[in-house]
Formats: sequence, structure tokens, C-alpha cells
Amino acid sequence: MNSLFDLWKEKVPYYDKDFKSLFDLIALKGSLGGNRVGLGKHFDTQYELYIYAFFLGLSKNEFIPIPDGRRIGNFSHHIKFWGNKNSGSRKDFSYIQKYMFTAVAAKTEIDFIELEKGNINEEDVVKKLLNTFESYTNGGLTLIQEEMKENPNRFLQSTAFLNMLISVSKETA
Amino acid sequence: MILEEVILENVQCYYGKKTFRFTNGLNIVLSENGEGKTKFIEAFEWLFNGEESKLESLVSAKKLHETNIGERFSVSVSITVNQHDEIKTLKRFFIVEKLTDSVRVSKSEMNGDIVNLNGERTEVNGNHLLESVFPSTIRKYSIFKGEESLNIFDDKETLVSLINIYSAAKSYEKYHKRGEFLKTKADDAVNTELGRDTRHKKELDKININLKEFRRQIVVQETLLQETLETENNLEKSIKEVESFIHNAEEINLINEEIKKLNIKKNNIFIKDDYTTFLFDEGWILKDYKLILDEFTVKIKTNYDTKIALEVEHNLEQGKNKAEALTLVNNALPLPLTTPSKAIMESMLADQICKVCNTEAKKGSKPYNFMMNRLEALIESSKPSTSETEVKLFPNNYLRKLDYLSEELNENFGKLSSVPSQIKEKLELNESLKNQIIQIDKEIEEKENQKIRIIGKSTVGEDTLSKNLKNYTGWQHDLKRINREVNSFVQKIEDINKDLTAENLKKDRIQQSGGTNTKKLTQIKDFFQDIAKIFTDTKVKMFNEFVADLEKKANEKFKLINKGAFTGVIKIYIRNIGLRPQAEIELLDVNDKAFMPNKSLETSMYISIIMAISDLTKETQDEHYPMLMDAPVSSFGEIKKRELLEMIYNVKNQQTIVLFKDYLDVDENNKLFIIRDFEKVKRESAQWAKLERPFNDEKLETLNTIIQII
Repeated sequence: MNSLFDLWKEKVPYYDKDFKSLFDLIALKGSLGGNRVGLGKHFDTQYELYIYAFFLGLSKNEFIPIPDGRRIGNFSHHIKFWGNKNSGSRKDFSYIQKYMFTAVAAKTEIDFIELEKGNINEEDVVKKLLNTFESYTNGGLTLIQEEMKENPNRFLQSTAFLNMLISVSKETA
Repeated sequence: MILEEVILENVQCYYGKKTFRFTNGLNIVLSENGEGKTKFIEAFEWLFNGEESKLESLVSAKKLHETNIGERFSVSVSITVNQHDEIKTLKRFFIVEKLTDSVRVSKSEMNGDIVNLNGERTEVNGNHLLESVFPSTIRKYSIFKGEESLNIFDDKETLVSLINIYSAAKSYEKYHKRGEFLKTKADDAVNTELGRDTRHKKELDKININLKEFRRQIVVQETLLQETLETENNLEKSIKEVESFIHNAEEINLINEEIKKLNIKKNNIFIKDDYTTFLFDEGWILKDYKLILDEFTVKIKTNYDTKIALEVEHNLEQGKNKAEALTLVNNALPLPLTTPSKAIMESMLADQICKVCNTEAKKGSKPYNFMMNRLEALIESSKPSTSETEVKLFPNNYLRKLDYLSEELNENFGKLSSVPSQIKEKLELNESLKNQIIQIDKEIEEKENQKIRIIGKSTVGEDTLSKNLKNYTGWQHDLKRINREVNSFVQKIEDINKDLTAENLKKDRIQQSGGTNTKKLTQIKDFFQDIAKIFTDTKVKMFNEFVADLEKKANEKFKLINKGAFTGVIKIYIRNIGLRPQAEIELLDVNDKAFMPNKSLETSMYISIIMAISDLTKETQDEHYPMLMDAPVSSFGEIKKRELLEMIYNVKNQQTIVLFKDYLDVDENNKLFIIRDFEKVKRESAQWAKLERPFNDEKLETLNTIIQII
């Protein structure tokens, strides 16, 4: 029997395609050369932005499920590969998968007793966990996009994303 | 190649035919300022470059003065060299005709002849002979006028072009190109095959368009970068030129040295401020995670406790004696059966001690029996159900694994607890470093303003100054802007290259998912790709080996010149600016930090590198060329100067001609003489170029340099 964590990390989470341009602008992959620098290239990969948005949404308690019927996208990259770095310039941070999972599990309503009894299918539980993951991320992406519309210059600074997270934690403290 | 003879005929202060004779090894020419030293080097340069515009200025005033109107005479510079046992002579000359109020000069011509081992003489094309005797690519590294000219690496591409000429890397260029060609062809074949598959066609087309666009962008940015680098170079030259006009150039030089020092200091400050990356790599993103982890821990624990309570209740209902025997005091909730583990339980039973509460549990005692019952219950629970009637309340065990996860993360959280202070410290450190840079920038700006003030006050070369001074301030500003532009282009090229790599990876993935034919072609493509990479890597390796060798040899010589003194270590950096490599030279201290050498140390550093280049030339070309240095060591003290000369003297198979005014002095009758110390200087030959006395330095027609062998 696999653990819930093992089952969850096999998944590929989705995001609302309305945020596609955000990924193009501030994450590396798929972006078009010069534009990115001007707008502040901050994330080496798209999943880094996804992780960031998740923690941002979580800190701000922005739980916004992707509305039904929306066009959704993913980057064909299973969670289990996130943070696996083998380049000299970056450190491996695959440990973050566990922290994201526990956060998701903490925030998802699951009847564990019924799960242990076998009255609930584990796939349904994993689906709920994934939904929580996507919903906080969606909340985080919404916040980033709002901030970008309001104050695009802010994203030219190297502290932009760090500050956003710190200010969020101050607000919610 | 050995330069054996130089004959100057009616060239400036050299009236009539004057012959310098040289041999292999160290040759010294002593000459006081204004008595023919620099004119000798200039004549030599004219032989090489054949500059037509300055012909009249080369004519000996004395010869012209003595020539009757309508008469003609020849002005020439000729050298005789011994190359591979052949005697080769090169002569550049022109004819001067004296007119009533002026002179008429012919165009200059170059003659060459070779005398072989058998004594046969052949006339050859002078320019061709010059190129074979003294290739233009290396002339730049053979003649040095003054201490300043030794820094031939001021132009950052000079050293790289030199390395390209002499390192074996150049032999790999054609293979490198061929490898790239094969790789491209194989890639095209894979694309054509893959294009037949409609599933991939759309995506592949898109990737190919992107790749084309990225490559186009790189070419555009590269072109812009090169143009900007040229502008930067020209601006730097213009600024230097204006600075050299003024009478207080020394003062300007001092300020430039200080600016250089400040820039080195600035470049040694590294600010790592990629905070978004730190969020992941340093775990900063988990700054406020503890609250969430607590929430998770409580949630799992509560559910696990509920589960155990329900399990106990269930087992009691099922009438399991073992379970009853495991009931705790006051009906407290028992620990999960797996805690402690089977192995630990067995160890405790074997030692008859409860290792959790450090109490004896003798065999047969109540605690011993309790532990034994737990172990049996654990073994029982892990067995598959044997009875169809036995109902297991919890067939799943997800909570136990979640509990383990909670324990693991709580244990590891210690490492993350310092994240808030790490963030604070990093931000404070970077703030302080930024302030240091701002401060240095202010100091640099102040120095630049000082220079402008000095130049403004200068009285020498006023005509040129008034024209150039207007531009000077503007140039300084432009240079700053251009520097920023260069950095921006370099960054853009780097970014686009990253995009290119990402897009290529996508393409690789699609190619790997193609049909059998595609897979076969992909294998071929991969093979060619590997071949191309081997050629590229080898080329880079050879290049780097040459640089390392050059660095090693330069450091050996550097230590020799500065025997017993602190020198630091010469470091040659090759940096890729866009696609073009540039070389930079620095002196590093024991902590590998760059420092600003004093003038004589700096000069000895350049001489060491030049000598090292000469060494490597010998090794790779099986040829050596003479080096001419005019006043190369004016900043050196007596001892150091002698040590440098000794080092040059000891270099085998290197002909060096050093011209300087040192070792000359004047006696009480204002008569020049060679000081005794010169006897101690080891050399192969020495000559003294001096003006024939008496002369009047305001009347050029009285000047005649004679050469005396010492």
C-alpha cells in the first residue's frame, strides 16, 4: 500500500490558463527572450512559480478553487520531480514536496477514520488533496497578478517575491 | 631568427650610415634622452609599417642642410637577420631631392634579398620577405615603446587573439565546424521524419519557429554587443588620448591608478541577491511553515488517537485476550502497536529492561509480560487474516505513514527554525555591501571630476585641448552608459541561450517519443551531436591548457624578476563576452583577492607575460623573434633593474634588445659617462648611441648620433 504522499506526488497539478501569461513572463520556460528580463525573470522553472504561488495563497489564506469550465493547463511535470536539481548553480530542494503535502493535508477535510476503514477510496482523497493544492495556488497566482497590474515595477526588484511573502506573513500574524 | 644588423641611413639624427650590431641573447643600447634611442625604435617601426605620410619627418636635417639644391640622397632603414642559416636583408628607402624652398620625396620602396648557405644571393619581394621574417601577427608583441606600452593587454581581445594564433586549439577549428555541420544535417533528417507524424508536427513546427527566433535574436544581440564594445574601446582610447596631452599627465595617471584600485575593490564585492532562488534553495519559503506543521501534527495525532481508541474498543468487543492484557493504567490510550518497533521490543525483552522508562523487567515479572504481550500482538497484527469471521476494523494504515511523516518533518524542522534570522542577516549584509558600492561609486565620480578639473587647468596643447575638452566630460558619461549597455547585452544573450536550451530539450523529448525510424535517426543525430561536442570540448580544452601554460610560465618569470619579494600570483581570466572571449589579467594575493600592484611590480608582471608568450611561441612555432624594449623599466630601482636584466640574460635562445638611459651620468664638465655599475650588468653586447659633440639642440642640422661599442 502506497502512502497518501506517494499517491499525491505522482500527480500533475493544473492551473487556470488565464495565468499562462504570468508563467510566460516571470518563469523561464516557454518565455520569449528579451521580454522576461524587463519584467523580472525570477523563477527558473514554471513549477517554482507554482510552489511559490501555493505558499503565498496558503499564507494569505486565499483558497480559490479553479472555477468549473475554465481552460486549465499543466506543465507535464509530476510533483515527484519538483525540486530535483542537478545543476551546479542550484541546490536540490525536492524535500519541499513533503512540506507541500503536509500543508495540503492539514488544510484538506478528510475523514481519516473512514479512509482507514476502507469506506472511502484513496483516489478520492488524493483528488481532494490535489484540489486543495490547486486552489491555494490559484489564490496565490491571483494575488501575484493583481499585484503585477497594480505595481508592475515592483517585479523588477530582486526582493519582489521575498517581500511579498514576508508582508503576507506580517499581515496574517 | 636573430637580428644581426640594423643600418640607419640619414634617418633623423642618424646622419650618414650608422650600424647597430646585435647578437643572440641580451643586447643593451644606452642612450641619453633626445640622443637617438626612441628614433631608433621609430625607424624600426617605419621599416615595418611603411607609413608614407611621415616621410619628410624622417629625413636627417644635417644631411639635408649639407645637400646642395637639386641634389638627391637616400634615406633608408635596413635590417639583416639570420633565419634558419640564411641571411636575409630587408631595406626600406626613399629618395630625397632638395629644392629651393622645400624638398621632394619619392614613394618609399622595400627591397629584400636572401643569401643561402652556399652564398647564393636572390632578390625577393621585400614585403613578402618581411612577412616571413617577422609576421605581422607577432610584431605587436615584439616592440615596446616605454613602460606603458608593455601593457599590450589593455585591449582585452589582444591576448585572446594571441592565444588563438599559438595554441593548438586553432587546429580543431575545422573539425569543430564539421561536427556542427553533421549535427545540423542529422537533426534535419530527424525533423523531416518526425514531421510525417501529424501528432507531433504542430508542436515541432512551433518549437522550430521558436528556435529560429532565438537564434535570430542571438545574432542581433551579438551584433549590437560588438558595436557597443567597439564604441567602448574607442571612447576609452579618446579619453586616454586627451589625458596624455596635458602637462600634468603624471597627476592624471595617479588618479587613474586610484580609480583602477577603486574599481578592483568594487569588483571584489559580490552581492548574491537572487532572493527568489533562496526561497527554494535555502528553504526560505518555509519561513512561516511551523504553524502549518503544527496543524498537520495535531490533525494526524487526533485522528490516530481516535483510531487506536476505536481499535482497542473493537478488539475488546471481539474478545481478544491479548488486547485486554494490553490495557493501560487508568484506561489511558495505548501507543500504537508499532511503537516501539518489533526490533526494539525484542531487544528490551532480551535485556529484560524497559529501555523507555529504564526499569528492570525480569522474566516473568508484570512489566516483562506486558512487553511480551505487546510483541505478540504486533506479530499477530502483521499476519494476514486467517479466519473469514475475523473482522478487521481498519484494513488501511495511511495514518501510521502520515504519523511517521509528521515525526520526520518535526525532527528536521530545527534546520528551518533559523530561516527568519538568515533572511534578516542576508538582507542586512547585502544592504551594507550595496552601500559600500555606492560609496565607491561616489569616490570614483569625485576622482573623475578631479581629472576634469586638472585637464581644464592644463595649458599645454591648448588647441587640441579646447577641441577635445568639450567632449571629455561627455565621454566620461557616455562610457558609463556604454558599460551598462554592454552588461545588458551580455545578460540578454545569456537569457536567450537559456531559452534556446529549454526549447532544445523540448525538441529532444518529442524526438525520443517518435516511431522506429525517428528513433534510429535520433540515435544517429545523438552520435553526431556527441562528436561535435568532443571537438568543441577539445578545442576549449586546448585553449584553456594554453592559457594555463602561459599563466604558469609567466608566474615563474615573475618570481625570478622579483626574487625574494612579495609578488602575488598572476591570474589570466578568459571571460566570454557574448560569443567572443576576452582576457583579463589580475594580480592575486594569498587570499586570492585581486590587488593593485605598484608601477614596477605591474611592469615586471607585463614583462613576465611577454617573455612567457615568447617562450610559448618558440615551442609552438619552432621560431623565436627578437624583442625590442625602449625604456621598459623606468620605475624600477637599481637592484630590481639589474635582476630583471639578469633574468633576461639567462633566458636561453631569446634575443632581446633593451634601450635605456640608465647607467649614464654627467661629470662636473657636463660630459656624459657610463657609470661603473654597468660593468656588473651581464649582457652579450652593448652599444652607446650618443650625439656627436658639440651640437646645438635648437639647430637640428647639428645633430649626428654616433654609435660606440662598449
